[in-house]
Amino acid sequence: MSDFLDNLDSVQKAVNRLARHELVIVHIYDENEINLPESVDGTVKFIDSETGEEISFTVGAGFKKEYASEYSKHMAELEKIAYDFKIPYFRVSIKNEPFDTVLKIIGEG
Amino acid sequence: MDFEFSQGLAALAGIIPLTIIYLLRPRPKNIILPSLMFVRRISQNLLDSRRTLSKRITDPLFYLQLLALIFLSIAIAGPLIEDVKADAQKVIIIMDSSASMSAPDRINEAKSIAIERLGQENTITAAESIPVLLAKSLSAKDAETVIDGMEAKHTPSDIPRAILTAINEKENEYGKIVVISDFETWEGRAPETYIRIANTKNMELEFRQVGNKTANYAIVDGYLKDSNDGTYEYTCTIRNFNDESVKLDVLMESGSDSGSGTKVSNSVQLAEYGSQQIKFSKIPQGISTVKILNEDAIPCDNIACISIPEIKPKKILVLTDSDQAISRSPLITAISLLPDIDVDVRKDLPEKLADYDTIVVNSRYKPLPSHTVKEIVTSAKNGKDLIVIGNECLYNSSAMHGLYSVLPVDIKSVDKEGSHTIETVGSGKNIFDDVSFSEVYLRKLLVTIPKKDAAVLVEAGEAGPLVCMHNINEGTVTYIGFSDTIETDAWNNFATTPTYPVFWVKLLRYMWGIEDISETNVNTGKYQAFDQTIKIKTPSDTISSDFVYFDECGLYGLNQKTIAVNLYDSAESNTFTEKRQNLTGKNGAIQKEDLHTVSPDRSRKYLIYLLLLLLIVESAVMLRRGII
Repeated sequence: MSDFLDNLDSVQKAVNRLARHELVIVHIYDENEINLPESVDGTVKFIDSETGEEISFTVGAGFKKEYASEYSKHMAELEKIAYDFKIPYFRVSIKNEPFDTVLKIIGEG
Repeated sequence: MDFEFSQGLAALAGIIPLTIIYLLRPRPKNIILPSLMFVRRISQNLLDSRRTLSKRITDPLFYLQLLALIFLSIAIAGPLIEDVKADAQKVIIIMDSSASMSAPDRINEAKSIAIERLGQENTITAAESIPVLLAKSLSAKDAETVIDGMEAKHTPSDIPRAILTAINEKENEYGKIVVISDFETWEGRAPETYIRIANTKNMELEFRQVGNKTANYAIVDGYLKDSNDGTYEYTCTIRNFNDESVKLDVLMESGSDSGSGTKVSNSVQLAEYGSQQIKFSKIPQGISTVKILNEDAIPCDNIACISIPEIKPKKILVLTDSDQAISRSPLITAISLLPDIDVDVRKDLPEKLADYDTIVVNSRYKPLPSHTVKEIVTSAKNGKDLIVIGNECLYNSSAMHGLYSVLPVDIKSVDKEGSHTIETVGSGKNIFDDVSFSEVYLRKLLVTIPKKDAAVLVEAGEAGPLVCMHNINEGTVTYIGFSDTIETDAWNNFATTPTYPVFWVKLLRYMWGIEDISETNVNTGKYQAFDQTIKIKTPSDTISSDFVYFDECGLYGLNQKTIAVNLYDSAESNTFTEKRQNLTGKNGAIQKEDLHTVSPDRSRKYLIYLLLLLLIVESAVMLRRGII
């Protein structure tokens, strides 16, 4: 269970290592990470919540479209890894109480 | 680059706060993302972008606003862009129509050039001694008709005056003034000066020269001198405007109308550019002419006309009271001073009224009988000259009221109020120039109002005319408001002043059309206005007008006078001048200067268009960002 916002190669290695176990991939995501809100426009300072890294960027409609495209591509590749290893893949929005949803998925809820 | 309002560039200083605002303004939003991996991917160079993007203003709105500010500043300053007004559509043709243009082919060549230069809107001016505006704002087609009808007159030219008149006309701004002349005479400043003046008034000035050197002979500087025997001596100069000597035949004719005229022939041998003064004595009253019989370029300066007023003996009938004191009145004394005048003082009409040229009615105490009044009125209506003195009798006596129908004034009352200011008006200013009305104390007079078409020469303010006349048929009826009694109850003291006889001499000469010699011999180019419309016989036509412009050599008939009009202008007759203005140039290039105009209007217009475009783009950006 992760946001999987990492290098997909490392994700693949990790999946490969854990594949002999019963493995379920739960991808937690935030809608605002996929489609940046309309208020994000003009000069924006993006801050990495984990590392604190900052990047200032002038955001326009083109940027948002490209960002959404990159995110979709990332998810598609993640989905492909799960498919290749025949591992169930679930995508859960952070708004939908992800822990309850995971418990339901694994049959404990 | 020059600016109309260079201080407007100070608005560029607005760039500084704009830049500061964009550099210092707080980052609009901090967006926390779990990973910046997608942001990095979008950026081509992660590290570089991180370093530079944080230091550089990347918002396109900044650049839009920066450009808008720059354009706004420049628009306020108004950059002056030079423009050449080529082939202006508004054309002002100034065509020399003076005597020298009557030399062969000059006027026709000038017409061709004028037609060739016509634009969309055309003004045509004939440059004579005064600029004569022939047409204004005409289409090319109509202007061509006007130009075709133009001809050279017999006047001197004043091209500089015509140019200045055109330049000072506000309506001619941004027009092209084309001056076409032979430039034989030029009395103004250098032509280049006028080009500069025209340019400063946003006009283009172009000179076109016509004509070549042509031989001409002329009579110039003619004048008359009184010989005190009833005749005059005429002196003039014959000039040869050519680089070859010539023998000229000169003929003087006088009194040819009466059949008893004389002819005097003379031959004058003149060297190249030579001249000779000649005199003719015993020039009689009437019309005489002096002619050069040889053919040349300008015919009008080959004839000099002389008009000496014919003074025929006059017979005056003075009808007055029988009182002996009156018969010796200053009026009769003054009239008797005139030469060739027979004055008959009577209290009744004579049998043959037709024998008299002028009747003077001066009844102070005893009115004339009704039948006498009727007969006088009939004579006046038939064209006999009549003078009526404004005494009390003229107002009080009903019999005298019979004269009212022919008087040039309506008599209203007797004014006993006291002094009045006497003023000469209209033609009276010239006629009575030598009469001292300021010395006259006017105690009493008849209050009058001039009739329609009557000419007032002297008036007493609101009391009305003192000397007023009008024409009936060929005659003149004159009302004189000065009573001539010198008794204790005299109405005025005019008769006791030294200029009283002068007044009568001037009045009678004017009534009879006897002019001073200088008034019957004038030069072309003179303008004369009249109090009323009169019939004028010009050398080529008969017109009715209240002014005359002497633009033809020859004889003019007006107000029963004959006026001899001559060119007498050496500069105008000289079609072979060595000092002619050369405005043609070595290669036939026309001396002209294109009209360069500098104006901020065009640059401002485009800058404002750009500003509007930037505003639209900026609005679109802001709309997309959801700011508006």
